[in-house]
Amino acid sequence: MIRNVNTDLVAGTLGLLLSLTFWSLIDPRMTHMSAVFPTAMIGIMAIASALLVIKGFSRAAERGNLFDVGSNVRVLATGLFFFGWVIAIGYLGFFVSSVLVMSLLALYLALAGRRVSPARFALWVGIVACEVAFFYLIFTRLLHVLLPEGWFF
Amino acid sequence: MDICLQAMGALAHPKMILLIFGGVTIGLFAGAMPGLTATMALAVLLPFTFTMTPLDGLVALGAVYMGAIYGGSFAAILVNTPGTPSSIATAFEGYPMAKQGRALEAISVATVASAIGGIAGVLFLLFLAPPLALLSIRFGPAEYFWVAMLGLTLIATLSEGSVFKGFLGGTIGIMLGTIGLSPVGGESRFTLGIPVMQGGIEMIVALIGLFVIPELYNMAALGRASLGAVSVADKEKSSFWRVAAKVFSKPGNLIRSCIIGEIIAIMPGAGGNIANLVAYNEAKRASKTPERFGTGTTEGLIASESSNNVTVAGSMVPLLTLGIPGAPPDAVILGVMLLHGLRPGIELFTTSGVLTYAFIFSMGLAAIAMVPVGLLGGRLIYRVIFRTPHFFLVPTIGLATIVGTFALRNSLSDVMIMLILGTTGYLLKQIGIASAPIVLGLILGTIAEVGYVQAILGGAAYRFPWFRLFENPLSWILIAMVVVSAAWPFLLALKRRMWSAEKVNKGGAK
Amino acid sequence: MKLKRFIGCFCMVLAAVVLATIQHNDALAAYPDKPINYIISFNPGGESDVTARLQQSHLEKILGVTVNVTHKPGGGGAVAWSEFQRTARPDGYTIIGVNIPHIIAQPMERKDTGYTTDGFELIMWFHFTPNALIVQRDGDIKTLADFIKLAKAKPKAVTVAGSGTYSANHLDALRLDKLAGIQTTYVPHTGTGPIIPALMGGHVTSTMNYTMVGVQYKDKLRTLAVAADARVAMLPDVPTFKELGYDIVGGAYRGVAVPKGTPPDIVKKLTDAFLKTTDLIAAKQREMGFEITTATGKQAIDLVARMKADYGGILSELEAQKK
Repeated sequence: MIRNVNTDLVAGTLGLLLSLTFWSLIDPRMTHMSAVFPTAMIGIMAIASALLVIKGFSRAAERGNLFDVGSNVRVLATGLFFFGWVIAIGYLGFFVSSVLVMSLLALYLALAGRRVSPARFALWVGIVACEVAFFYLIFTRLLHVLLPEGWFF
Repeated sequence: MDICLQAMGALAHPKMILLIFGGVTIGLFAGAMPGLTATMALAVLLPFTFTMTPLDGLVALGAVYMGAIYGGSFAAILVNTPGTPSSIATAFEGYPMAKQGRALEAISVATVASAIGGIAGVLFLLFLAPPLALLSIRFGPAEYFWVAMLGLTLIATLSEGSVFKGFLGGTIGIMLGTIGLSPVGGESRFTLGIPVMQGGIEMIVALIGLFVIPELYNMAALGRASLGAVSVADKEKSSFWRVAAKVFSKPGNLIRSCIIGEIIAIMPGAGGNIANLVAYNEAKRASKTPERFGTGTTEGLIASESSNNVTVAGSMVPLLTLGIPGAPPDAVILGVMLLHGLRPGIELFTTSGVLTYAFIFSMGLAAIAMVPVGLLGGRLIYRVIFRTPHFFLVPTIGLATIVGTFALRNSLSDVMIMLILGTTGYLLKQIGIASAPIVLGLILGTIAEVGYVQAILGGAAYRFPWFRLFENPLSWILIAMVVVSAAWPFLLALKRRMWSAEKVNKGGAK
Repeated sequence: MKLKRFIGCFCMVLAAVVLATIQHNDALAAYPDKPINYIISFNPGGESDVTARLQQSHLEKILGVTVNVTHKPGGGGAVAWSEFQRTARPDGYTIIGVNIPHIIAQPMERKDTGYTTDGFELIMWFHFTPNALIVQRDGDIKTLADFIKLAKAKPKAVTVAGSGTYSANHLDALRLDKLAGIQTTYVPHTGTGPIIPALMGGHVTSTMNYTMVGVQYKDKLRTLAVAADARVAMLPDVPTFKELGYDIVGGAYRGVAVPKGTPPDIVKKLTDAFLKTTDLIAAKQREMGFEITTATGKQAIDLVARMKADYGGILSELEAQKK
């Protein structure tokens, strides 16, 4: 947890950086038709950010605690699980990677609050496999969405 | 009259009832699944209708459409994820209700409101089609621009904390929306030279990411699901009749939302995705207790869900009379009609009148069928989600999100974009920038840009091309609405400050 | 150390066996023996999609396997085309819908298209929609002469809507400007869909669009001229631009392609299947306002080359104007 942060200042600075990034990416060879709207919007973004920065230095600045809900380690780990999942889909295929990541994620989240015996975990892997198979079949067979293939299928 | 009786006769067949119930059920589950939109559900089912008679096909698709728009509310209420973009505002009220253990009540309210909206849309279509069709083509580029501006005033309403942060969020959303091909100029912008970025950030991809992923992180952080348990008293409160009585007790809200839904429905290209937001905004503005919005009020829920279901039959007004799809899913319905050799226009109501009226009536029946299907299905989905422990819920919802996002454009890059946006959304939330304005900017930015640039191009012969934006009476009306809507929160704040100042004075006098 | 080497050997042998079986299977089995993925690079419900859906059942009957129509919209088709050229295996199980002028104009115009015009093995071009100049039915403009007169009287005030920039619509609108010596304002739209209400509501004067628009909205809209060599069957009363003295022939072609390097016998099989299918759905396609074409093999490549030369000229002229 990060305590008592001037969120107005942070948001404003972030907004200014973002406007600068977008502004630098505008291709000068673009026609007026394509450039006029983003340019105007970058302007508004910069103004809103500047106002936030000014407010950030005033007495009215909003202050708050960041990341103060629950366990941040678990958030980080869950995020890593998610990104790993999507990357794994590209290599292992949808089915295998989903069963793998979902089982491990369920185990990780459950271990925070209780103990999990190996037998129980095996059961969970089974449940997860059924779930994934259910989605897999509905999407590939009924909806004709070809989910990424990798190992096996 | 004769045609109407014949049309009713055509529907009085067990097969038709089966098609309607089946269609609504399929639509409901498709809509409840984030990523599966009404348009996609219809497109996937399109080939099945080739073998059916034209009427059977249209009835089935109409029922799926109705069910899908309604089904989006389940995901919105139970997991804070609009199942379709038509239920964004539903999540604002429905999810807080579910957290308080009022999930079943929220579902019942959404069901009743959706059914009423669906029927209202059918009535608009039956009785007011010709004048509404004329109104629909009055909306030109300038009007689209102003409607988008009207929608953006919602940012001021939505931002709980600072209005500046809301605007920053809104412009972030708008800028995300400009990535990819520019809608009018056709040039690629902000793609960093990556070919896949030409496709830009699909609005639904951002919607899923920004709403679901932060919620999943929250669940992981807390180590428990956020759905509240439904008490016995709340179960009673969610009975159909009590909810129906409650919904009808505020007819003004219903009527207003239905009219807003209809006007937005007839605008070609804009559908439930904008209707629900505008209706919600107006409901909040008209409410006597606007400060309670966002904490689980039924008023906001009713406004959102009734207005979005009006658009189902409502958007068929320009479709059936002029052949112009009023909302994206209608394009698929138009495809079916053309395949069967049905050309939209006056003949549709005369020579093939029986078929057309039967189709219209069937949508009304589908709206009614939503009540039993929805109440049963809603309870089922609620029970499944409530009983599932959080450590299963997080991966399972993650799975549904990933598959849904992938299915949208068959693209794994979209899934990655969804995750990145969702994670960023979680971080931005920490410093007080909410997801809602970002999504709003993303939806409305493109509409505003297309309207603005086309209006300017249309005025190329003028000395000041932007004069085109202020030319038509319809624009003036919209501009007036934008001004009122933008000024409202400030007026309200002023009023409140004066009121509390008075109170302080009185307190001081004691 | 020994163990590592052993595992390495084992893995290699395993991989070799797996690879051998896969190739063995491919060589043995007659194409096709598993579902074919037919990618459409536009939204469901569009013209490309509807056509693919019409073809689907016939293709399945002829080829004897399932044909899945999948959508990968984005970037005016470029997202799907670039991914296809990058990743699709040349085994005939992934085929993709292609469009002229999109696959010609996009690589010319954008830096980061991600694909090349010649990077496809074309199966065939199965239909053509000529451009047509269309106005309101009940307006003052009744003929092309009226249109040109108005445009001459008010330079830039006459607007021509079309779908996309540097699209088939845009290029023929530019040609008309040049040949008739007029100055109109071209207003790009995101597709044919939003143009119809804009035209009916009088927000634009006219549209350079496909003939199917004129066919489908006959009672609300008037087609002034079509950009084809001969009159269109569904619009027998509408003259061609050529008849009126303007040499404008253009429009959009739709077709289907496989990755470069697909074995010739598979290409042959697919070509036959598509030819047969095109024949079977021809009546329905004409009803919707399409013209049937059957350009396969060399013919298909020649068509691209011809259009490339055509568009190249106009595009470079336009670029020169910009500078």
